[in-house]
Amino acid sequence: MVEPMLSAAQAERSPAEPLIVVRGLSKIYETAAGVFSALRDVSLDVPAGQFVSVVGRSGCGKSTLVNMITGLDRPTAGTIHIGGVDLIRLNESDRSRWRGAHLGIVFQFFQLLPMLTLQQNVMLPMDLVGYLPLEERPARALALLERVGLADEADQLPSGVSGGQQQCAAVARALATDPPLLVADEPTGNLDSASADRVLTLFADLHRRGKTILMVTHDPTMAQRADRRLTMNDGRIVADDLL
Amino acid sequence: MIYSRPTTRKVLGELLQHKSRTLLVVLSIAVGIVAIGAIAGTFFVLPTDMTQSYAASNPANITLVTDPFDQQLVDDLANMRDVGEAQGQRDVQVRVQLASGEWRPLRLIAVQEPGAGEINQLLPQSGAAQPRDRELLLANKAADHLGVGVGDRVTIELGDGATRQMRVAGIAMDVGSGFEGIVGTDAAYVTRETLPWLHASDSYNRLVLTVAGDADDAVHIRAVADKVIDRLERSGRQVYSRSEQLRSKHPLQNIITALLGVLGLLGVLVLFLSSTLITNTLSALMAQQTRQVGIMKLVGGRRSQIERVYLLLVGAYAITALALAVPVGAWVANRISRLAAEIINCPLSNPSPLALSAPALALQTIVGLGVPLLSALRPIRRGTRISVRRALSSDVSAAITARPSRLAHRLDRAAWIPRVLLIALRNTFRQKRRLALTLATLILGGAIFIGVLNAQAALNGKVESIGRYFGADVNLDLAQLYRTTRVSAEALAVPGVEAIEAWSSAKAGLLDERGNLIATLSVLGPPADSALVEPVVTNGRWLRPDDRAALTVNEAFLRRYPDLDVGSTVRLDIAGAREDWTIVGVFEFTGMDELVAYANQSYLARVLGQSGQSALYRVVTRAHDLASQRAVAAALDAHLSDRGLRVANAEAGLSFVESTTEYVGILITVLLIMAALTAAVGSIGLAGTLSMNVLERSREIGVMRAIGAHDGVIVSMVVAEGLLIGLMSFIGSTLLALPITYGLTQIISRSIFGSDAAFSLAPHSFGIWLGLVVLLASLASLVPAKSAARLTVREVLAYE
Repeated sequence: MVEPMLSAAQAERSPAEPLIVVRGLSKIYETAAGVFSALRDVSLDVPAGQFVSVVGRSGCGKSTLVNMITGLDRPTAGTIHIGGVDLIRLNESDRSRWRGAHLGIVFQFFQLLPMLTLQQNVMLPMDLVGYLPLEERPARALALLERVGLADEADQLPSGVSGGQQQCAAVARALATDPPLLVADEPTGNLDSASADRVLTLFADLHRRGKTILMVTHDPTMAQRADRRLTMNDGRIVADDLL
Repeated sequence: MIYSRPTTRKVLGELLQHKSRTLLVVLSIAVGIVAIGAIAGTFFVLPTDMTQSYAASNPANITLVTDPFDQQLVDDLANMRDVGEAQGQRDVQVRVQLASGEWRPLRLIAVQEPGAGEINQLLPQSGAAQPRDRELLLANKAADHLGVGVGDRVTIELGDGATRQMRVAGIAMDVGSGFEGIVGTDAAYVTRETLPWLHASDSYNRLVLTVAGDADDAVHIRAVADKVIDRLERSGRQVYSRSEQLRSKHPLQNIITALLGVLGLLGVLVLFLSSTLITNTLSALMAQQTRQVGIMKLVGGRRSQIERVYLLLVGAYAITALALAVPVGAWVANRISRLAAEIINCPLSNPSPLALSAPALALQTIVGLGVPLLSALRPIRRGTRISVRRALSSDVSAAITARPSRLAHRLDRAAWIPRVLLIALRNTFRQKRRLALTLATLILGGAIFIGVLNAQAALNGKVESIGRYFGADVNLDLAQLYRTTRVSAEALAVPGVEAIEAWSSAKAGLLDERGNLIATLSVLGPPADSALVEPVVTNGRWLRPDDRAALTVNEAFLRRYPDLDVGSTVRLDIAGAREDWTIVGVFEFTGMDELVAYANQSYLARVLGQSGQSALYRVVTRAHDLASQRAVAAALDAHLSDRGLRVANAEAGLSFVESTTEYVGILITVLLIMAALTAAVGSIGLAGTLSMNVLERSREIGVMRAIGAHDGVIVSMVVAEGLLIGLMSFIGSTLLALPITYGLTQIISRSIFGSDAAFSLAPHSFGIWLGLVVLLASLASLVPAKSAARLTVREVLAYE
């Protein structure tokens, strides 16, 4: 079962309590080519309401760290607590359930379901976790799409809109169940600069409204938009700068 | 040549690394090859073995029943021009006692040297090939029915009530026993010298002959039969019945040919299903290979080279499937052949359970290699046509439309439908071609299944309709004529007996204008007010109490003699009395094209000189189930025997219906095996489709996982898709089942009964298939659903 999680409001009331607590996190991949350490003894606290960027060169372990924090992958060693929930103790199915209720994810390649309209894509997480009464979900999805500037495209399939619009829709989907934490893995990596700017503006707006944001990027200028920057190299956090 | 090693390694890699996919493709191909092997193996082996073993037994071309004659006449006839061999026979009706104490009728066939005769040669099965005097050579079916083996001693009750102990010297097979061998009286063979010991005349009363010259020329055989009859009549003997048979035409050949025709048709359908399944699977395989095709092209691979790689892969799948399917197909073919051979009483030339038929193997090889390669050609050509840029881009499988379809819009408005079900609904229709092929296989499999069960119901109905003419609970045949008043009084004293009717019966000769015998018919004489006959009169009327020399005839009369109709007069010879009879009605009666007529009992008895007497009684009991009928039959037998009345046979009325229903049931079982095969093809197709869908949508499943879909959601989404396809196919199956039901029913009915059966739809056939299709769809979905639920988000999205 998914343990109770801090709501966004609770997180705002106690900003000193870290929302994300990572201790001694290691991830070792055993491949035919040999043993590879993607993460080496990483520890990290992220208070609620912080906008954190994770930067580093390709293969430095930043995406692996995000995969651990989102519960998409399991560490070899260490612990991860998000809002008091010990992620390591949850199985794959329960982690999915937990994510749906407490976490919004934005991927580099948008990952919208191609057979659902943008509005339905946004409604999907609400259906999966039973968020809001059934009849209120379409209106909330539309409101979120309006917030990202896509109200007019609500009935379009993902293939009918641009990459930037798809990513905005993905952000709207990430907000569907009003999670306190938003995790984005290279959210602008596949966008032109105007679209990338639009997405980052959205993130800044969400940050102002109290959301905790963890964003992986390889672009230093994008990282500057956060208020904290973690720099990774060779599976370790080598710099932790408040901006 | 530069590509030979990587090509081989790629093919091996595809085969070994993707074991589930390899299994799916190999199963898709193998199931079709098994079906082809099963049908072709039966098709090529059974009729040949049947015809050859029948011809090898030197079957009689002519059978005549006449006044008693001796061996001298047989020898004289054998010397006639155009006569090959001749043999005299005498039938003696006795009863044999089972271990349970029950008496069963037994037909003893006495010949000069049983087991050594030149005509209707018997195939020794066990024990002695020839019985000595006062010994039995038991027909194999009789041995099975009676539960008797070689060396056993059995008690025989003779017509006059005396009993004899006889040893079973051997068991032999009469390959020409035909329909009589299936539902008729059990038979055994004795020497002619045994006849006096059995209190029977040692003269013959049946003559069997082969013709010299062409034994497959019906005209020639008929001419020889005419000559022999002429010779017999000139010797002062009357011929009571005649029948002619071609040497190479087994008595049950029409039935077997019709059934194999049905099986062949099913085989073609299974082949079609199998090829659609293969096309489906390989199309999906090629879709998955798009990126690899792009990479191969990127590094210089020409389209023809890439096509060869995939054709090689398909060839490897096909050879693997062939290796697995050939022995299984041979095993199924041998099971079906053995089952059929047991029914029709024919030996198989190669009884090994894995005996391979060369033509069947050749067909399997052609189909097993040809169909997959041909089916794969289009998907491979389409798959390799793609440009490098498109193949390597990530949006190859993306939807090309910008807006959802009208149907999708309507579904969206149905807010009560959970989003997950909506996704399942949308997913179902995403690959329309694949869906159509999957539906086609399931619909056809279901329609055949329903059709076979409907045909069974119709044929059982047909058997029951035959029972309308045999409504008695107990058929009581006495060994001689008795006063009907005496028999009735004694029978009514037996507990459980409610009513009894005395019937008459006779074999009548149908004569032409010159008085020559042209056919033999059975004339049955129930009392005019009999409650035991519920005729289906198709023309004219049924018999009235005041009718004299009036007949109702079965439809076989009109088929054989189209000039005859209601009002026509036919000249009959009944026990030497030649008289004109008027046909007053035609009734529907099913029975191997034999001529059957009904006449009033009182008039027929008078013609036979048996007024007030009868040996044939029909009994009504209080309870009408088989067990009660058997109990009353045994009680009647015992009571009448105690009173000095000699019983030839007392048999439960439902026995005939039971044995015929059982016979139909065996045929239906064979057809159901084929229906099960088609259903298996359908379910494998569905499982394959769902697996392919899951494989193609792994990324979407991963995304759903990432945004909150737990195991239950993923599993229910895939199972819902499977169930939806299953239910859609059910609707199609019910519609397609109608013509299939009609076709199957009529083909089988005509081959067994010689006439059509009433079209019948059995609700249980639809219910069973609905249950099965839901079960199969659930099972077929379960594995793909579980593998979908096992997908972790990281694995699915890793390639990004």
